[in-house]
Amino acid sequence: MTRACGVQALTYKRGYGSFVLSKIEIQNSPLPTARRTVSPLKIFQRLSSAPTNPHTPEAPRTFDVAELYRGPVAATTDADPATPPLDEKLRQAYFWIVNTAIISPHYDIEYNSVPPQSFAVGDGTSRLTLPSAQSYSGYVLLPLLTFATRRKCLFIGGPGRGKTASALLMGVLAGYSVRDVRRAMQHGHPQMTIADLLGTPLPADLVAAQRIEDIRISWRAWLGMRVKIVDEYNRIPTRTQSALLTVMADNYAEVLDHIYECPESAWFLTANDDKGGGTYQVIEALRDRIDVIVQALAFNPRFLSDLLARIEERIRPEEVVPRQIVFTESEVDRMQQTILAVALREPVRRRIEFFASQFELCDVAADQFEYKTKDTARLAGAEWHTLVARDTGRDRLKDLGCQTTNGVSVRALQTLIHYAKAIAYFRGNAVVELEDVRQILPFVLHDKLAPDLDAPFFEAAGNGAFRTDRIGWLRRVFDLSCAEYDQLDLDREDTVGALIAELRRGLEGVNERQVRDRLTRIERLVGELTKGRKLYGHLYDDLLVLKYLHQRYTNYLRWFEAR
Amino acid sequence: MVSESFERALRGSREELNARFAEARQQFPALSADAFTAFLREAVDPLVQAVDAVCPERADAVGLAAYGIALELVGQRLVGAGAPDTAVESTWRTLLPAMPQLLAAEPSRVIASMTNAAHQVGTTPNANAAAWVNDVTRLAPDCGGVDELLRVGQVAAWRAGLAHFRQGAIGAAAALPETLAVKAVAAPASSRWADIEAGLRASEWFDPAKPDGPDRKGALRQVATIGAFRGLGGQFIVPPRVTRVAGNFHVLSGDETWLLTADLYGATFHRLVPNETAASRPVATIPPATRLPDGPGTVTSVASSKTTLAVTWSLTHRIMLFALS
Repeated sequence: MTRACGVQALTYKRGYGSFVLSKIEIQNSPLPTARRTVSPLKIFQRLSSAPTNPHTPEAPRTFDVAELYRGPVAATTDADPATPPLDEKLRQAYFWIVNTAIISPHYDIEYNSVPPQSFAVGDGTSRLTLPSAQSYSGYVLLPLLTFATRRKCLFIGGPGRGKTASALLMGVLAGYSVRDVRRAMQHGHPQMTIADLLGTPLPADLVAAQRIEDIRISWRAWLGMRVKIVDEYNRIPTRTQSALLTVMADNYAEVLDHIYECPESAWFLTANDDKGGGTYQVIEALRDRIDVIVQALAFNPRFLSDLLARIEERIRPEEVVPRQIVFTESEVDRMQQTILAVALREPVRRRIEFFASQFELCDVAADQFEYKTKDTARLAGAEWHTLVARDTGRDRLKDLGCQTTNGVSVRALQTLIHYAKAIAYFRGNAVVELEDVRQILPFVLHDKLAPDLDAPFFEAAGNGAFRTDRIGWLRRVFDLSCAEYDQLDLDREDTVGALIAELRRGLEGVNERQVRDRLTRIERLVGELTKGRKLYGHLYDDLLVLKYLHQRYTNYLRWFEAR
Repeated sequence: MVSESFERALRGSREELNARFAEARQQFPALSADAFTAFLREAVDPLVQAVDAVCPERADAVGLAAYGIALELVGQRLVGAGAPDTAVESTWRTLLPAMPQLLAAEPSRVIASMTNAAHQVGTTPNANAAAWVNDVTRLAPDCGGVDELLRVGQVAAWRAGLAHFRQGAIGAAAALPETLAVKAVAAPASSRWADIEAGLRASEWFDPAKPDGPDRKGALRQVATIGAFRGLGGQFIVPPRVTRVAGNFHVLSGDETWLLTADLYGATFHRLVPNETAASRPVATIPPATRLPDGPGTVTSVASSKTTLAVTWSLTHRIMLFALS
């Protein structure tokens, strides 16, 4: 019996399944040709018994005699194991998916404890980085965070890359059987009607009912599930998309004036092509409801042997999900609450604010200061290139706002905060780190921040790849924003921030003279900020907030005078 | 050939077992079919037979549980040729067949726990794995359930040389029925556990088997010589120094630091990470009224607790421990 690759190895593997038992003289034919019933497959259900994100122990070291029974053998009890903390359980789910369920994971969410090793490949334009801390596969992590926060995730990528299978796994993690998840999955197709999607009136009632409220509706079962999967959503006709939008956005379904209130749930959608290549163009409002977008990356043929083994052994990951990583409804509820309690402190929050303020300004879009936004231009139907041609005076390479055709919406910011907290929670932290934001931001803004591919940034040397690499581009933009933030020394010199903080402390006990003093300081600061400076996005937002402060104090002063 | 009872168990779950073997081959590419078959025949079959003799309706469950764990052991080469120690193998061949009732009650828990414990004792430097197997084999028939067995295993591991489990093991013994606890620490049958526990809590050098203590009670007496040059299988590259940090003995050698735990039954070293080694500065001051015996070279460091004096010398990689009470 030789250990060889390829066909020989296949033959060998096919043999050994029956080999063991035939050796101990059990009769009958070799096993693998017979149809095998699905059994609890312990190897594929193995979970990490070690902490998935261990931290250095504190001194002095203590010893627990219970450690005696921890070792190379995984199963140590015939009863249910003790339930780990939910963040640990979530990490166990992640590592089970990465190590067992999917083949060929890509570690594109990189964390480093010390500077990583980086290698230039080829002509030097390609770099491979070996992260020095626990890093993650976005394709697995983002759906899991979506599951934990009950938000909405879109899988994109070519056919046959495991998008639907990954969505199925999320349904199983929520405690549904594979059969239920499969049956509840909505498959987009050009003939899909609202009745297909939501439910149908009972035919007998349609005939007999005298009033519309007497018609009972047979609602589709998927509406009541905590995990909702819509496969190939860009093949759904536009009218049906609108019905789907109501369910996604407002969490209810409506048929013939009857309302079905859906439970809070995680959504997983798939699309072969995110750019409108489906049968129907996805309506913008529906696209905007999607919180994160993850791309199914290419299969690495080096893992073909794993694929082969899975075929031979008829392993379907969704059918062997260990029960220890299946979450109950109340566990997800608790997880959601704990995630919201993760702190996002001012230094990180300020960098998010600074980043978000870069993009909305469009100086030539309006005369009124408040309306100088890209959205004003969009609503007016202005042609983008004509606006750009009129936009002079700014350094269009340096100005990050020139790289996009829109700004960051409130919804996108809310999503960013949710996911930043979720990834911090997933990593076992109680506080969001800047790196958490940096890593999660591209997945949130993937479809929210539209690049202007004619911008000078994309023409610059070395930036050509960012025309197609949305994740890399967004991460680079965030890095540039942080660099600008550091250069302006805003962690220490944030005069506008100090004025905002002063107002937030309240006006109780502030006298008329102090109000006048504050108004003078605001006016002086506006003068300083506008004197000889070009108008950039962050300055625009600062000026608007100074105007807001000025107005608050003005009203307060008016109240003093009227007393 | 295997016994009829084991054959029955295998035949009943043939497809599943074959599938598990195939899956284990994915997990452990080095899993040898020959080695696994041999282990089934020589180690698992006797277990199944032992259970079949006292509780035949549980023989299948024990066989299946043992099969799964055996896969992991053979796959990781923890048994058979090339195994890092023989403790696991002797546990399966000697210890487990001696507890058929407990195996029948909770097969996976018992087999996995005993296997993990054997592996841990067997891979701990200077621990006496054979003593652990003998101790648990001796005491298992007296255990009223799996929980008691696991406590007995903890006490036996401590007595086999895992000194770092001392406090937990004393607690485990205290949770046993008194007669079993007394037996577990090899004390005279007439002893009272309360007295034994008090003695154990008072000094690391108290011997429950000799509750009246050594003849030279109160005098400085050498109780252990521990540690060695790494080239000879020990821990240290250069002669070590000892110091006392936060109630623990720390041992320094070159850039490395260990936490030392030691008592009558043995000593273990645990490498410390850098942030655990703060304030480890050894001194060579001999306590007043203490007369040390001659050693190899000069005394390089001395550290003491209420019960133990640790001394290092300039010309040896070994550490001498003296009992102070």
